[in-house]
Amino acid sequence: MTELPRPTPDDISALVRADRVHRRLYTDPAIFALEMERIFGRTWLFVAHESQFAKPGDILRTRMGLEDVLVTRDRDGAIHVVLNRCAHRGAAICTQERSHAPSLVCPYHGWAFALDGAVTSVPHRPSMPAGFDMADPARSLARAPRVESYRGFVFASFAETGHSLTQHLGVMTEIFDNLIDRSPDGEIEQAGGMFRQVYRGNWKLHHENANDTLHAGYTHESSVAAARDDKRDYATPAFDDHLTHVQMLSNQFGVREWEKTGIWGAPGGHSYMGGIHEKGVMSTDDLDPVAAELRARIAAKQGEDRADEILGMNRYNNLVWPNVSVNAQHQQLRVVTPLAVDKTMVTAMCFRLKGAPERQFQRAVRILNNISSPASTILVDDIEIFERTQHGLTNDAADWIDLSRGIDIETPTNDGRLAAGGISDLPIRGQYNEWLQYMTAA
Amino acid sequence: MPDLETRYAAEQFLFHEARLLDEGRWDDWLALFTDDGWYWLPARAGQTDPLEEISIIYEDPSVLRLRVARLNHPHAWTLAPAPRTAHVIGNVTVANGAADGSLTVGSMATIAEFRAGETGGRRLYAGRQTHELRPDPDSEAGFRIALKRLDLIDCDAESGAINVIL
Repeated sequence: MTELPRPTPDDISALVRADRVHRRLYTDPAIFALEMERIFGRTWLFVAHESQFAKPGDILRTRMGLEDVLVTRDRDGAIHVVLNRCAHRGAAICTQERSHAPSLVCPYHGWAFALDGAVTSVPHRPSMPAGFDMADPARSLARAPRVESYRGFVFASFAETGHSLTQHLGVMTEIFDNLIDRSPDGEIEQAGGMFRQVYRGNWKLHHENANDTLHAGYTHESSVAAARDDKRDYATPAFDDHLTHVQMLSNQFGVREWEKTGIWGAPGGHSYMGGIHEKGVMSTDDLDPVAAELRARIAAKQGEDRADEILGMNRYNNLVWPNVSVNAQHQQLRVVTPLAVDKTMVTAMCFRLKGAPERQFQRAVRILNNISSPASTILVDDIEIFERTQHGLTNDAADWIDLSRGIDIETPTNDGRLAAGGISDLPIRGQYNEWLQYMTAA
Repeated sequence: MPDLETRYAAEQFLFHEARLLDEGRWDDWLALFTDDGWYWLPARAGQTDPLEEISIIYEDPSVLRLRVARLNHPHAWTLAPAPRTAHVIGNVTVANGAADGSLTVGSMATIAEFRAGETGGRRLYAGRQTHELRPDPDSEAGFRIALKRLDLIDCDAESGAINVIL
């Protein structure tokens, strides 16, 4: 990739305007290479939840952008992120998604590394030259210099310096807090497996769609119609049987309902939209014994007011730029991983709220099946549109993509957010503000 | 061990089901299920729990009928253009247990898919199927499905969108 001509800051700036962007941002391999270097090579990226590698010696294989990395917990409990590439001849050391070992040993020539990446053993030392120095950092696994956990959500950065993780997350810490607070024990764990969905489109298309409310009625028309024509009575105790129906139906909102949900942008390219399950828009809470039991258990520990406050945080998709989307109500998190300029993987997982009714977790599993499985009756239409968009943008004769919806009606809040009605490209404009800063920085 | 006639009938039933899917006769396919039946595509090899672990699909007819209604809708974008499939069912084994004539039928399924256009392509699915069949003398097919489980060999791998019923 380094052979590609590197776009200059002026080249980049010319492709982003206040209300539109150029199609090359989705199709040009040179821009993609620069994104990997300047965005995914520098900013904080979500890599794992601590429950996925809870014990000393646990190793989780994942990606930071294009880099294949191992997230490890050493015997002292410290967390490290090292490159899955032997420091000797470059073989991948680990091929399992999850493993457990006291050290990392390369299967090629037996070089061994501690879980923090430091080389510990090089077989046949006498055959190495006299100047061979085990202390030379080049003999150890390359590592992400900064790794931080925000209450169990582990992020890493390939940059030596920069904003702290909490500075990067800003107000988005609220949604991680809320997900944890929904657990009566104040603790969550990732469980139930993960889906990994690959689409043939640019990585930015995912976040641009996630808070785009208006697409729902068009893109998802077929699943909306299927649910609308199949009238259901959401009576207890069969509510769980209707989760799929609720989700398919919720995309039917028109302008009035979306305006009511609202949308917010935050510094750092982050954004979130209001919830769709709010009373008066679409609520089934009154009919739901599981929700009532969860509320009672939270209230027993934290009081009635606090329980209402926690469960009352009504937000749907919460986008942490550039690679995470959180839905606390669904106990769900998605990670966006670029694979190529026109290929992206979305990893979707759910969380168990410790101390919550068991059916609460079973719902999270079911909701994940419904909206994040490769066979989801909802997601497949998003994927289809991502791929159609990617294809459409390969056309040379038209260059610009419109991002002007709602640009005249954004309102700053007194704590630095931008608010808009529920139909606005505000989240995308915010993503590009941040994108431009990273992409034009030296 | 079931007699040859029973084994033949079970095998013919699987071929019938495969043909309904290949011909896009989703409503007829859905009607093969018992009211309390399940269609299950596990997301992990050897998975035993569909409630505490994710599944590619774990749906009963009350949900499957939403899936089918979507496929029948003119604006199901993943069906424009429509994918074509060819199911090949083989290695059929039949075990009977219950006195009521219920059968457990194992088989291998290989499913080729083609969909025209830039968002389509060629794709191959394969895996072991298990059908729990209940005799249904009133139906032409002879059985109804109490459980269809399909364990795809790549059920836990990264995947593109699955736009057809397998």
